[in-house]
Amino acid sequence: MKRLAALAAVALLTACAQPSTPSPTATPPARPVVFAAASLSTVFPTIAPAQYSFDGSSGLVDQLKGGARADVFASADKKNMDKAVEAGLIDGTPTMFATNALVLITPADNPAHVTGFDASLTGTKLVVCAAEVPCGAAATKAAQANGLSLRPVSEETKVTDVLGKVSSGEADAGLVYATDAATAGAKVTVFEIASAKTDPNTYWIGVVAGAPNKAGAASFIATVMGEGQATLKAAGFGPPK
Amino acid sequence: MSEPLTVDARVAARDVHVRFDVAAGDVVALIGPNGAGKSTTIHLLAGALRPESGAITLGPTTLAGPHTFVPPHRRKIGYLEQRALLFPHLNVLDNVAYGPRCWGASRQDARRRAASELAAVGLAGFETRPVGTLSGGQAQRVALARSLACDPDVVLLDEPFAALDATATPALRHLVRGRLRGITTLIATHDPLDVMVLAERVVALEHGRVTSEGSVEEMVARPSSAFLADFVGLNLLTGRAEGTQALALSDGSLISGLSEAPLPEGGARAVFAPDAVSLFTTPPHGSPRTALRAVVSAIEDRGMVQRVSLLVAGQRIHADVTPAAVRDLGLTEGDPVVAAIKATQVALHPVPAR
Amino acid sequence: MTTTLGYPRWAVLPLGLTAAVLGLPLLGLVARADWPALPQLLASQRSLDALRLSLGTCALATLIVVLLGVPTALVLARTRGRWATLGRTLVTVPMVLPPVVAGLALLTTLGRRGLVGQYLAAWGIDLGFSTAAVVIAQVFVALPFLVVSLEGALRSAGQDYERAASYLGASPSRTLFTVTLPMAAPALASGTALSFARALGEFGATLTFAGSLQGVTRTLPLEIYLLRESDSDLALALAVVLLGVASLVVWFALHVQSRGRHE
Repeated sequence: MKRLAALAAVALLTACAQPSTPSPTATPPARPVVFAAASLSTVFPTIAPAQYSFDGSSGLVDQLKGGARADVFASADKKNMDKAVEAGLIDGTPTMFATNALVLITPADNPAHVTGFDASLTGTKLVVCAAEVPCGAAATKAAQANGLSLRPVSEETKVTDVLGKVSSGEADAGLVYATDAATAGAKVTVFEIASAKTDPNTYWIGVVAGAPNKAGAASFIATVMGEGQATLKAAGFGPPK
Repeated sequence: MSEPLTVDARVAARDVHVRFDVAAGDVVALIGPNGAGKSTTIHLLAGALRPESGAITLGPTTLAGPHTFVPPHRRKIGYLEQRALLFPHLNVLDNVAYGPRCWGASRQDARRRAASELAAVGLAGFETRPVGTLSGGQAQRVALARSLACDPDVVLLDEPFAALDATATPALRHLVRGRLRGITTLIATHDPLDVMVLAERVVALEHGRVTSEGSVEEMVARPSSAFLADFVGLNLLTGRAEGTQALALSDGSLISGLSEAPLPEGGARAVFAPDAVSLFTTPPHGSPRTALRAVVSAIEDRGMVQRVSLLVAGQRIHADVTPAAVRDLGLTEGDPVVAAIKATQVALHPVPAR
Repeated sequence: MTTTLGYPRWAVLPLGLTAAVLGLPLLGLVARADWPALPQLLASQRSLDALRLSLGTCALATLIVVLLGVPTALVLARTRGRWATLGRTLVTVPMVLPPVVAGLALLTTLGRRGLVGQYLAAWGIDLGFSTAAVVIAQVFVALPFLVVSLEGALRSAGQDYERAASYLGASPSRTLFTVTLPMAAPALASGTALSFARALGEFGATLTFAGSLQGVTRTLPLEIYLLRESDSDLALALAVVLLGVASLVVWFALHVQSRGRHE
């Protein structure tokens, strides 16, 4: 929580300070409009100033399809980036800029005595993302890789809902991304999932076709790929493969 | 079935402390200026209000006392107010059957009873009518039937005709008279006609206290306060029915008038306004007027009119005449005169009987 | 019968804007739906599960709302003073609460570690992730609609008819069932319908408090929310169904209300 507050404070400061003291690496003529996955909402503003719009990746694709004006699109999975590329919404080839591995979390006191991503999950109140959303797809993949058949009590649409149900103690265990687990701090106990680490979720970024601010978009992506990597790592993201 | 009523109740918040009795089967009029406590008294009897001290008893039952309070729905009261308050979601018959159903009658018995009550108020054939289609007078008749259908021990009437248009009132008043025979009744009213047509006795309230009590005749003959004198306003002569359209006084003189229904034998009252009386020194000829021998007992200057008090066969009446008439006739106290009254301006009523 | 007063002619302009603001998005929804494929889309197991769950939980929630709401409205309508104001505030607040806040409120109260929930859990009653939690969330958001509309109607109707019934020998309970409620029937019906519609649209509190599992807790709005991620055609189709049911229910509510007014 403290950390979240610190991040938010930094974000706020950066946002406020930007017009008079532009970041030394990026000196765009104007801030680019960045459509980014919701899981990037705390980390991106600390990397570079921009006009952000955070939402689920698929929702953002829908908005772009609907003609929303944006310069940069950052997706939390390959599937939605592919969808955008297919629809001709992206200029050139998108770049992978981060990975995010699925982890198993329990409330801090681990009331159901879960020992890891294994048979100890049987009979517990497990909450996962629905298969329709990226974190749910990742959960299905991890279960297959570990020979587990998961019997969740709830399949949430948003990974934050999984996190909330575990950190509040309502559920015994949940599958979330390492970055989400990081935001909950000491409220949850984290168990890494080996298979997920080798096959993590990938984050992609690209310039939106017909971006009004192409220069700003390019410099934003350069910042993310350069000095932004350290910030991403601090927030729990893995490096691009 | 009908029970005597004793009231000795105090409501300090409204500065009301009323004490009076009603004999079983009597019809008592409760009169008084606005704010005198008439409605408070009715509400005390109905159970809408609990007295702070004192007691109200109906026959052997204490309705309200220091340690008892019978809620309204356990009192056998018939209550009729200005508005009929018929239940809009029930038809006429089911409105009237509502009371008997509450008191435990089967649906069939309740409806049978309701039908006979409706017939008694002249509304046979209205059973299935929605109440919204009734005129004001019809609705009030249904309300009367409804309040009588559960055999009340006492009937409370709170200005029952005040909201009706003038043409509907006389017939309904006559109907109420007939239906209330033998039931202990209290009627709060502003209208002297209600008193003279319906009541045997009068209880006058002023400032929350009973200021006078007595028979209707006593009140009219000797109003004990300015309010009563003003309230009475109308002339009342009591005698015996003579045929069906006239009344005979004790000195044998006859008063012709109109009545709602043929007068039954026995006591009767003639009611007429002071300005319906003309004064002559000799009986007028060729006129369909009642001519009564009278003696002037007082003359009061009321500005536009002169109010002449007269004694007729031992009863007091008033005549409102112009100052010119008094001058032309040269009237002074003690003079004999002839009081003439048009038959069409005299209403004849039987004396309310138990 | 008097003629109704007219309105200044300029009022037509804002009216048109209102129609556009409120009507166009709904029209857009209906226009975008894949009508020919609608029956087939709706026949899918997950749609049927969501529809069945929504209608079932809403019916149960509405029943509970009526059982709790009618006496509550009656007491509030007949009470004056500070406590009544407090009570009215309490029943109105859930109406204006953001859905997520409602969910958090339920979670912190009835959740496994909540104020009341921890004792329930000790007795072996676990509401989380159950259909019961969905119904509770729906009751929480729908109950105010019934109480507020019925209380208003009872208050403005006054007590004269009830008093008349008591003089005829009707006990307070009998008066309630034979006079008060029948006379308030239009308000009761419209309040009930609005409660049902509100329960049908309930989303935030369910998501936060009950979770989302097909056939157990994933009601129509939650299914639409999830389908948006993968199958927007089906999401639209279900949205149209929800719009249809809600419109029907609200139309019914307004219909009985206006009929009650004209009688």
